[in-house]
Amino acid sequence: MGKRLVLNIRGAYTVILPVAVVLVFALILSLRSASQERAATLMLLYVGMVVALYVFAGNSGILSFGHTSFAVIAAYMSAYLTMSATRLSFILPDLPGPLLRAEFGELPAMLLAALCAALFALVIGIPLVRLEGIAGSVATFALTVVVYNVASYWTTMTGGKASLSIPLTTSFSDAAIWMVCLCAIAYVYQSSRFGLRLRASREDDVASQAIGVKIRRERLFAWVLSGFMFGIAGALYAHFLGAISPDTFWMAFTTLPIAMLIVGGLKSLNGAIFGALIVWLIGEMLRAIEAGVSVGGARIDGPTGLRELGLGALMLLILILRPSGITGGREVRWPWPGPQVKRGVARVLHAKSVGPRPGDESEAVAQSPSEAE
Amino acid sequence: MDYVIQTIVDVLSLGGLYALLALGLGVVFSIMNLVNWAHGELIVVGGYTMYLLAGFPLPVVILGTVITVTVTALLMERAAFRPIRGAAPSTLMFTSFALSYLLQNAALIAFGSFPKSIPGMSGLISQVKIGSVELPLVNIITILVTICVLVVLVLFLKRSSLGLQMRASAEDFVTSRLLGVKANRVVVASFAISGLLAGVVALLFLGQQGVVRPTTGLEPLTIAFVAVVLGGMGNLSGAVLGGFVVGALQTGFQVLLPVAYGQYRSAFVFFLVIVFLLFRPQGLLPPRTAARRV
Repeated sequence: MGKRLVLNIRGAYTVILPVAVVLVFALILSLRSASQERAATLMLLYVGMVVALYVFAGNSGILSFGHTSFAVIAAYMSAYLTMSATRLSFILPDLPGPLLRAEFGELPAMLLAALCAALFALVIGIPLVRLEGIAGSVATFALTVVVYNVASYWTTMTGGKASLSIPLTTSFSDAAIWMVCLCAIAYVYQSSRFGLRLRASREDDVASQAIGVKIRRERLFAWVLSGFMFGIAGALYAHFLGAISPDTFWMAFTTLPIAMLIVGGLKSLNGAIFGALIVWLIGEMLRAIEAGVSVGGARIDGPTGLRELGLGALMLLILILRPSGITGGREVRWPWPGPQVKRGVARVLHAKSVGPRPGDESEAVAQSPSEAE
Repeated sequence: MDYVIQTIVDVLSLGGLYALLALGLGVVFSIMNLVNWAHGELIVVGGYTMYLLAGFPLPVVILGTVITVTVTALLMERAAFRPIRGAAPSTLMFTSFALSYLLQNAALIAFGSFPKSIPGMSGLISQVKIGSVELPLVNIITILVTICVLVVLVLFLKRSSLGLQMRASAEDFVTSRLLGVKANRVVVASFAISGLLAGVVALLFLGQQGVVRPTTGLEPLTIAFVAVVLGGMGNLSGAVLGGFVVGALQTGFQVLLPVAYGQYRSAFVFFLVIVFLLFRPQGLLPPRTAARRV
């Protein structure tokens, strides 16, 4: 038992290290000033979103542009559930009765909202998981367009394009705690049998089917879990902003987490976490230059829009130099191998607790292009 | 009767425009397996060229726009896509996505977020009377241009040596290279065609809209995307068919949907896209190479 625990902790190093880095970084920022604390909160929320997206996109290999719809549903649902009936009936008088009257605390409201997002994911996912590759990406993109279009004009539910002000409740510690929880869920999932089966189907769908993996079922599970997680992150984000409209959740919102995931490395959890951290960090630095910095007495004022321009250029550069992202789809490993790992049962346990070793994975990756040709 | 003719002309011109859009995306995909997100930005580049060239005579505007867009497409290929040629399709797509983000924000810095007007083409909106039917001039021009472009493109692909090499590469890039097809030549040719088509679309589409802003590229890109997927990725006739289908769908919803639901038009179109993909993920006319061997 003790040995197994050690091995499990050692395996979990792959998530503990990046989470610790993000947390320490966020804590240092938050202690400096109120505005930096807000920036750090946003960074933590992005990490949560990217990790939630990763649970489906990273493990299944199908890039989803559709997660925005989960955030929209969870954000509005959480807004209905946290606001008092008197205020809601003033802003959205035609809202269905139960939603109007319901009033919950911050946490139950968010969990309920995320459950709604997961339910939506389940309903839409049952047919959608049949698709893969580019058809899958296009269908999820279509999902986002449909939800945006409906949210923009369904005035009964959303008040149309107008902005809805909602309670500002997401604090730094909320964001930090949930970031840790989401990363933990993602790690437990990806090293569970469900996660491993889905990852096997990502590397080679035919071979994985041959050993009995039911790809659609595994995909659906990841899709719903990922929808729930993205719902939580989306609701937190909404309560961080304090005002939402359908335009809050449109192209920029859809593309940023995807960009972060790609830059970090689509296929690994620490790629997702580091990608979010790095892209956010570069964005903040460029924003600072945009606002003006002094270098050796000379003052440099960057043009407005420099942040996005720089981010785009950097993403392009990273992809050209490292097509599989900064981490290249690898996980950080416990650097000191223990002797017991090499022996029979322990080795199996090790394999079970940490998933495929990096060498195995890179071999599989190296083989696939030649097969494709 | 007049109404029917008007609707048919609407469908044909909208479908033709979409077919040109889809072809621009499809021709690059068929060779390189690249879904070029930056195709929308090519049209934006065309739009800003038209804005800058305002005041010059029409032929200068037309030539200038088409040339600028084509050169931009070739530069894209050289700078961003050549270094990662042969990478996984998803990596190629992300790269073009980053490129699109970069260009969009470059346009934002250079021209600001407010729409810039394109005055030179306002003549396009006028109506012409044929018999008893009043038709917008732009629709007729669009149909004629589409026909010309399609004929030239088909002749090029079927009759010229380079066209033959391109078709061979679309079928099987590796084997055609083994048989002596120069990879760079066909890839550059596909980007040149893609750029030419984007230039033509910019003239027709933005000339009609009359304004251009940094985010203008998104709408044409989504339409092209959907059309290519509907038609069958990697098949050029499929792309043309897909373009016409999307055009017909949009016009159809405009005519058939009750006014109260008119604002949900894009939701209906994209919902149908999802449903269609579920039943036929390989598209209407899948290329022969898409058949699974395992």
